[in-house]
Amino acid sequence: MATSQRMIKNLYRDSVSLMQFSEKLRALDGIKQASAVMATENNISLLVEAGLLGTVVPSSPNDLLIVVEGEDDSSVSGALDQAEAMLKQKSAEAGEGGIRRVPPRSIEMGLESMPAANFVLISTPGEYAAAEARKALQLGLHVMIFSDNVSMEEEIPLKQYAREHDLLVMGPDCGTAIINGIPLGFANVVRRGDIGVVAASGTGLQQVTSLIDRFGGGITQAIGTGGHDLKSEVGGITMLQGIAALTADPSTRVILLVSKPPSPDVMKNVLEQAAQSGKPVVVDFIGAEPASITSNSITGVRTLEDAAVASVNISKGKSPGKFSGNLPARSTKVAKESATKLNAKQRYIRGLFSGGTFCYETLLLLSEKLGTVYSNIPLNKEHKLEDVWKSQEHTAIDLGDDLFTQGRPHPMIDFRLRNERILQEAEDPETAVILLDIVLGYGSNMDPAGELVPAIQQAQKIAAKARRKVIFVGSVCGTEGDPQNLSRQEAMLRDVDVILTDSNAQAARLAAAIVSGR
Amino acid sequence: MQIHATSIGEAIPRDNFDALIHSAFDTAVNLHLVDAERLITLLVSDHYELPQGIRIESKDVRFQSLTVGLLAACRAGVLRFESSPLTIDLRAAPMWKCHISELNADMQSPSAERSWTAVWQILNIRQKLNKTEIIADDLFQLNTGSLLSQKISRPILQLISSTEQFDIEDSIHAAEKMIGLGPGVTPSGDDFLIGFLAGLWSTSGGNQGQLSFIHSFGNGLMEIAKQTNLISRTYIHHATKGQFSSSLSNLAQAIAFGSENIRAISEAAMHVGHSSGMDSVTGLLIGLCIWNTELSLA
Repeated sequence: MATSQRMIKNLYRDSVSLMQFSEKLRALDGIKQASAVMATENNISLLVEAGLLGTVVPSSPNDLLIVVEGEDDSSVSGALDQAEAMLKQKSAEAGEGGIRRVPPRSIEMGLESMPAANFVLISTPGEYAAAEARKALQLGLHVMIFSDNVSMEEEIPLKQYAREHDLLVMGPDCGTAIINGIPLGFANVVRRGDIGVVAASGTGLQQVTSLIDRFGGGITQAIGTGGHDLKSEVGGITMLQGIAALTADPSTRVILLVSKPPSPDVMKNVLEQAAQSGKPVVVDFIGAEPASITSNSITGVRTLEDAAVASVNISKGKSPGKFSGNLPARSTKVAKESATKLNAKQRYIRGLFSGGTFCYETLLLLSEKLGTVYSNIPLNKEHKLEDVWKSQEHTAIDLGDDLFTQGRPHPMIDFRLRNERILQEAEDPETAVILLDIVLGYGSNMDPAGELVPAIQQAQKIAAKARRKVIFVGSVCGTEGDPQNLSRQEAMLRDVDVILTDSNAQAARLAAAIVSGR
Repeated sequence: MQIHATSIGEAIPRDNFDALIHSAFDTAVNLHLVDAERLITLLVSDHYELPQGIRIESKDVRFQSLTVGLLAACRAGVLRFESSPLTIDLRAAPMWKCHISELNADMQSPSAERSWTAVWQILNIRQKLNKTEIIADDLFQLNTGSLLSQKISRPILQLISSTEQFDIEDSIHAAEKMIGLGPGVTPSGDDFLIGFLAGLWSTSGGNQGQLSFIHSFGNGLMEIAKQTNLISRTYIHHATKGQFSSSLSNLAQAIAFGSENIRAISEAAMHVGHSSGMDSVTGLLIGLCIWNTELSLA
C-alpha cells in the first residue's frame, strides 16, 4: 500500500462537495481510501492516527489537504493529479462571467444595463439638473431631483411635461423620499405599512416617517415634492399627483400631507383633492391653524409629532386623537428640576438646528410660549438676527441655510460649525438651554452623537468654570433600523446629560418650560 | 443586475465597508472584510439567517461572476463588486438578530424534556442514515464508532465535566482537542462547539456565574480558534457573542417551549452542509443539559 498527500492553498468547498469529492476519489481504480479535509492540526493528527499520513505535516487551517491511500505509488499519484484537476476545473467554472463592464455614464447607458428601471435620481450641480431631468422624462422615467439651485422657470415646464405624460417629478431640492421601501437621499429606514406621505419638506418627511415607525406604524410611499411645489406659480403639481397616486394605491389606507402653508389657491386645490381621495387624510401645514384645515375626512394638526400620532391612530382604526400641546407630566417635572440649576442671568434658549423644518417648527412653538425669537429664517422680518454669527435673546438658527453651507457640507454631515457654535453659546452667561436636533438615516453623518459629545462636554466645562450649568435639550430623528441606530445614538447623548424627547416639538416645548419655569 | 437584500444580520457593518471575495459556493459567497479578521456571507435563501449574513431571496441570482479575490465595496448601503454587474441594495433590508441569550430555557420542565428527547432520537436516526462519522449515542461509549468519533468523545466528556464545574482552563483544554477536527469546511469539532455554546447561552438566563463562564470560555475559544479556518472562526466568533444561525436558534427555542413542530424544526437545523447541522445539533443538545439547576459561583 502507498499513501500520499497534496495541499491546495486557500481552497474552500462546501461540506457536501467535499464529501462527494472524497467519494469520487475512493471510486478510482487502485484507490482504497481518500479524504479531503481542512489542514488543521487536529485533522493532521487524526490522519496520522488513521495511517493515511506517514508523518505530521505543518498545519495550515485555510488550505485543503487531500490524502490518498492506494495499491501503489502510480495509482496514488494519478489520483492526486486527478483530484487537483477536478478542483481547478471547478474554480475555472466559478470564474466565468468575470467580464469587466464599463459603468454607465448616462441615463441611456443606465437603462441599457437595467431596462426595467422606471425611476432616476438626479444629483448634479443645479445648472445641469433640469436638462438631465428633461432627458429622463423623455425616456419615460419618473424623476427625483436632489439638486438645488434649479429655478422655478425650469421647474414649472418639467412638472407640466411630467403631468401630461403621467410621470412624477420630485423636487428640485427634494432631499428625502422613500419609494417602495427604499430610502432615497437623506432618509430613514422605516417599517412598511399603510400610511402614504407627501411632503414639501425633507426633514419634515424624515420626522413624520421616523415617528410613525417609532409609534408602531409603517409607510407605503413617502413622496417629496421640493420646497417650491406649493407656491402659486407651480400650483402644487407634485403634491396633487402624489395624492392621486396614494389614492389609487390599495396599500395606502391613510394619507399624510406635510408642508409649510401653501399659497391660498394651492391650499384650496390640495384640500379639495385630499377630501375627494375617499381616504382619511392628516394634514400638517406647519404654522397654519389646524381648525382651518380640518373637515370630515381631513384632520389638521399643529406639529409633525401630532401628524405622526394621528396617522398611526387612524391606521390602527382609532380616532386621530386630541392634541393639547401640553407637556407630558414627566417632562414638566424634568423642566422644573432643570430650571433650578440655572442662575438668574440664564434666561435664553439657543436652538442650533441642522434641519430647516425643525428650526421653523421650533420658531413657531417658542414664539407661542415665549414671544420674540430671533433667527436667520425668522417668522417675520423684524426678528431677523442682526448678525447670524451671534445669538440675541431667544435664538433659533437653521445651520443648513445657504449662508452657512458655502464651501462646506451640510450640517447633518459636517458638525464642525455647530460644535463651534455650541462652545460660543456656552460662553454666553445668558444661555440657559441649548436646543439641538440630531438627524439619523442614510445621507447623514454616520455617528452624529459621536461628533456632538466632545463639544457638549467641552461646553459643560466652560459653563462649570463660570459656575453655571447649561441645559442641553434635543431630539433624535431616526429609527432603530438606521445605520447609526437610534438607541445607540440616544444612549451616547444621555450619557453626557442631554435631555432627549421623542420629537422636535416636545424638545421645543420642554426648552420653553425650562426657561419660563422660574 | 440590481437586487434587494431581504434581511441582514446584526454583524453586517452599517457603515461603508470594503471587502475581498474570500470563498464562493453555489448559493453563498463569503466576503473578507478589509481590516477585520472575519467574514460576512452573502446567501440565497428564503429562510436561513446568519448573524454575518446578507440574505437575498431572488432565485435567479447567480454568483458565477463573483470569483475569489475580487473586490467588493459597500457605499451608502449599496454593495457592488469588481467586474460584476451584480449590485445588492441593503438599505431597506431589516436587521436580523439571534435572541438565544434571552431564552432562559428551563430544561427541567416536562415539555422541554420531552422535546429534547424527541430531538435526540431524530438526531441519532439522521446521523446513522447519513453514515456521519459522529453518532451522538456513540460519544458516551468510549472506543465505539469511527476513529473521529472515538477521538472526539474524550474531549467532549471532559468539556461536559469541566463546564459543569465552571473550570475554564480545563474546558479550553478540552476544546483545543476538538477545534478544527473532522471533515467539512467547518470541521465537525467546530460545529459541535458552536452548538454547545448555543446550548449554554440558551440556559444561562441572567445567571452571572454562567454568563461569566461563557464569556471567559468564549475568549479562550477565540484564542484557540486560530487553529481552524477563517470561515469556521467567523461562526465561532459570533457564537461567543450569543449569535447563531436562525435554524439553530429556532431549534433551541422549540425545545425550550416544547413546540409541536419540533420534528420539522430539528430537521431544518440538521439539514445544513453534509454533517455540520447534525454536529451543531449534537452540541446544542449536550449544551442544553449542562446547567440544569441554579448554580452560582458566588
